Amino acid sequence: MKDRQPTVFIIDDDDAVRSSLRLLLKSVGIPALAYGSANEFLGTYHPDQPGCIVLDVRMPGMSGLELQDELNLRGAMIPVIFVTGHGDIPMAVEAMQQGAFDFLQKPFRDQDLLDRIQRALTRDRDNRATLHQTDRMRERFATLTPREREVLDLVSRGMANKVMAAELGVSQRTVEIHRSRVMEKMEASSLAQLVRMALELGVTAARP
Amino acid sequence: MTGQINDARRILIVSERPTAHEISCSIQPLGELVVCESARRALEALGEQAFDCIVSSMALPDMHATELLAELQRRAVTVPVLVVTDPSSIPDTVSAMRAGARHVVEAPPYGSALRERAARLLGLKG
Repeated sequence: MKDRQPTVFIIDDDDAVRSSLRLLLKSVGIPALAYGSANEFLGTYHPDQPGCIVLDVRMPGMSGLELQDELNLRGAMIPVIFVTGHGDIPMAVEAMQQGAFDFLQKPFRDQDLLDRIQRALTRDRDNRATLHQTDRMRERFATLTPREREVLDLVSRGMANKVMAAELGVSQRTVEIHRSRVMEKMEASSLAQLVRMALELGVTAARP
Repeated sequence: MTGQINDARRILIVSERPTAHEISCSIQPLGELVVCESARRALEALGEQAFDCIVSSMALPDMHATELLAELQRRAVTVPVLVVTDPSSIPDTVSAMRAGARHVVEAPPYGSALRERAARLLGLKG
């Protein structure tokens, strides 16, 4: 996958708002693309594209809240900043409950929006980095043999080698070997780190 | 499991008078109420007793509801929190939701909307 540049996606049915926001972002050197409707945006967006969305709540056709719903359904993690001229508390609550990153009422100061956009871009970058780490962890986990997975599970439950040996019907020495292979394959530098990985992967929960 | 319908729900109200009184009147039918007039007192109460729901005013004498929510998160308190705010404070609403509030209700009026929302958080019929 090629490296995609973080981009701000502006979605607003008002031409004037779109062009002024695009200009604002251009002035600070942040790449931006503008769309007049939610559907127009959805037709071109790829979830691997990093950035954030500046989204008008009320638009003809698919509303901003409906677009957020759709993005959630598609598993898109891109942060959404809602902007609205007619916001009220129930609307803000709904947007935040649906996972909006922020909710801003018009009129706002340019700097206020830029600050939020910067925060959203940072969040997106962090989220994607975490996801990447988890993916790599899964790849490493996939290289473990069934027996090694079993050992990982038992280790993460805090079971001592001696007990594990009895449980698995092998010698303590064999357990130690499995254990060190698991550490090596998972690239864990400590037992604590290995246990954390196991928890994150849901290894312990997966066992009957 | 404590799923019995007849178990009295315990609700912690964090608010100053006279708002505390208004909130109490509204949600009184839902369960047993404990009122704390500051965030500090509420945190003490939470350390000593179990609650099913917290209803807090946005502005408290010693801190903002958002700070109280952050403190609850720090202490791993998972009791659902409903925040009551005046109708103009959208930025506060956004920060409270981000800090972990389950819902923000505008008030006054301290009426059925507040009660229904609290009932839902308690898993009672709205």
